[in-house]
Amino acid sequence: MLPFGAMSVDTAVVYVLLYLSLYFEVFLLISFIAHKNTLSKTTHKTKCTYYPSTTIIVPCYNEEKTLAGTLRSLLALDYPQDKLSIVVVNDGSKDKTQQIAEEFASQYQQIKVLSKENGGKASAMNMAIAQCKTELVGCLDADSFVSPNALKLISAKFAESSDISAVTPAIMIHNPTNALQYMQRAEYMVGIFMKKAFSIIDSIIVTPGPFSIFRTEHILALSPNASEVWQHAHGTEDFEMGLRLQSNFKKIANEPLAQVHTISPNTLYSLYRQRLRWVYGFLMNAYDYKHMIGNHKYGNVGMFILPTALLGVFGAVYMFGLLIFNILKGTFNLLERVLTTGMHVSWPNLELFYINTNAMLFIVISLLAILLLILHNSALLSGVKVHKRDTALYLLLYGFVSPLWLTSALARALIGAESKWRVIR
Amino acid sequence: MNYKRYILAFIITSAIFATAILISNKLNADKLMQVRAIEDKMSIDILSLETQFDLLQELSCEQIGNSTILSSELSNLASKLSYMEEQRGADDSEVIRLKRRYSLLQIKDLLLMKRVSDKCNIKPTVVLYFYSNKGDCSSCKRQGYVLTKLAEDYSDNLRIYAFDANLDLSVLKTLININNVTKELPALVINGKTYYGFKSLDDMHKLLPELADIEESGKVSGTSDPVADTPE
Repeated sequence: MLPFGAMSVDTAVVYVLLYLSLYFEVFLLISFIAHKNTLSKTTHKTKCTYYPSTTIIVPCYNEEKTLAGTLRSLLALDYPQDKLSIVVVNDGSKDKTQQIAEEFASQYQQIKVLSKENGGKASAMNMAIAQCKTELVGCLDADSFVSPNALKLISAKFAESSDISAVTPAIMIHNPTNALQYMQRAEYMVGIFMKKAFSIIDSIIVTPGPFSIFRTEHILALSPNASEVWQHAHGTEDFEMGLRLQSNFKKIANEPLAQVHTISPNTLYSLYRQRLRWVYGFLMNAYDYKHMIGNHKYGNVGMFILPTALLGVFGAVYMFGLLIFNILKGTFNLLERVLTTGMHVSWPNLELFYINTNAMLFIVISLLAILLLILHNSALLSGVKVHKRDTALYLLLYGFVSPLWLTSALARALIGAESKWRVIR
Repeated sequence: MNYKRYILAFIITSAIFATAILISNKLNADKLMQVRAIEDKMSIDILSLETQFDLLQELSCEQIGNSTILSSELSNLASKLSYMEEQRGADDSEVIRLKRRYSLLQIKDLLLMKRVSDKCNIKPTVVLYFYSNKGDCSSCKRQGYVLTKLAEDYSDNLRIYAFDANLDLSVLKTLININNVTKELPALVINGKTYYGFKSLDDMHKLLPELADIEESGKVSGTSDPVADTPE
């Protein structure tokens, strides 16, 4: 007998969402498995024979605490010195950022410092790229540190095909110290697999700030002029760049062995602020590139990744709403019981009979099992161990904290989209 | 786009989904089987007691007293049935079937108990509770809480029989008729008199003054009793 006999609408929606989540995981996993052999060949056997000239832009706004570390990691890159320029753009910092940058520039010829009034990350990047004459250009946020072999591996990736417009690295959490950061470390590990799987199906839609490298002429060709290469794009220029490349049928590759460590928010509020910006930015950019959604012309991005990502935001918010509703309902029942018969504790029945055998439970277990398989593959891809504590915290906390920013971002995007629509009308 | 991969993902996902549903159905069917087994056992027990009663009219009250304790069985059954109703929904045909049998067993237990009390000259405290869980009885849930509490507090001295008034069972309809219960629910039949509407713990104590005597004589025990756990 199917459990769908007399199912309520909310239960049916949950089943549909669970099916789609499972489908998403399964699809990525089989895409990954289908290419697994070719992947390992590329990563282990490829050697860098040609080192393209590269500019790394480090946009800074009040980064006195981390800038030195970021620059030292760039100087430690295993890459010919004459092929690597580092441009620090001080975007109107009010702290000692300028002083630190100038100290480095005086010691190392490779480093150049530009200064401007505060105008946001995109404007800082544009100022630097306008003067850039190298084959490749990239960005490294001043709160991130790059592994010595990262640029070499990324160059090798570019050498695989002249069609590749961008290569994204594997991003990891730098020295986590609390539960929230351990949770993020596991989340970023899942991200390593996701990016690889997305690259296999040509569907990377974001070129993250920490060390995504671009073929300079490709991104210049897709921009109105050199001073407008990066757009403000609702505070997420990396989403816009990813979508712009995809909408122009440019290839974005991924190199999981090229690793960047980034400082992560250490409080729930700072994490919430960061993610709110990301999710809101994603939703608004997706809106700006809505012509791609469901459009067969854009392949997997248009037909699968964008619709699923959008549905994922709605779905997570719906599930969270339902969870809150059920918690409130349970609390109300308990309160009603206490008010009717007074406080008395009854112990839960531990008989086997009362163990939940709902189909939904088994589906969630399957989802979690595939997630563990994904984490395992992330570890294989990056050569970095996944900590059990991180995984446990991720599984325990993420479902409860992520709806906070997803809900807020969705609400803001809907209001934003509506006001935009009003203006158009 | 690689359509084959989309189809393969569809097949694998559907297979996982179907397996989850099949496992869940198998385990739920096993649980229902357990409930059925308890009901079978109880019906044999009741039948055997009735037969014993008929065979040995001279059976001493002490012997009967020892063998009529069906309370814990009935309580176990009620709570399992209530759980299955929660899991599978009140409209599930198998749940309804089991609930009908459960109601029948309660009525048989009630009749047997009456025979025993007549013979042995004892006056047990009996409450018949008629409820509806179709959303047309706003206070049935709270009434259920009150009766569960009473059943827990007076497990040895109070027998509560709970009936879903919407069940399609002729014997239950007869029971409703002979007790003159109208459609106004919740309805409680206490010592032959029918009361309508929610009755709080205090109200129940007023309607059942014998509970105070039990309390005074220190007979109150903590084990749980039959039926108040019934699907509310």
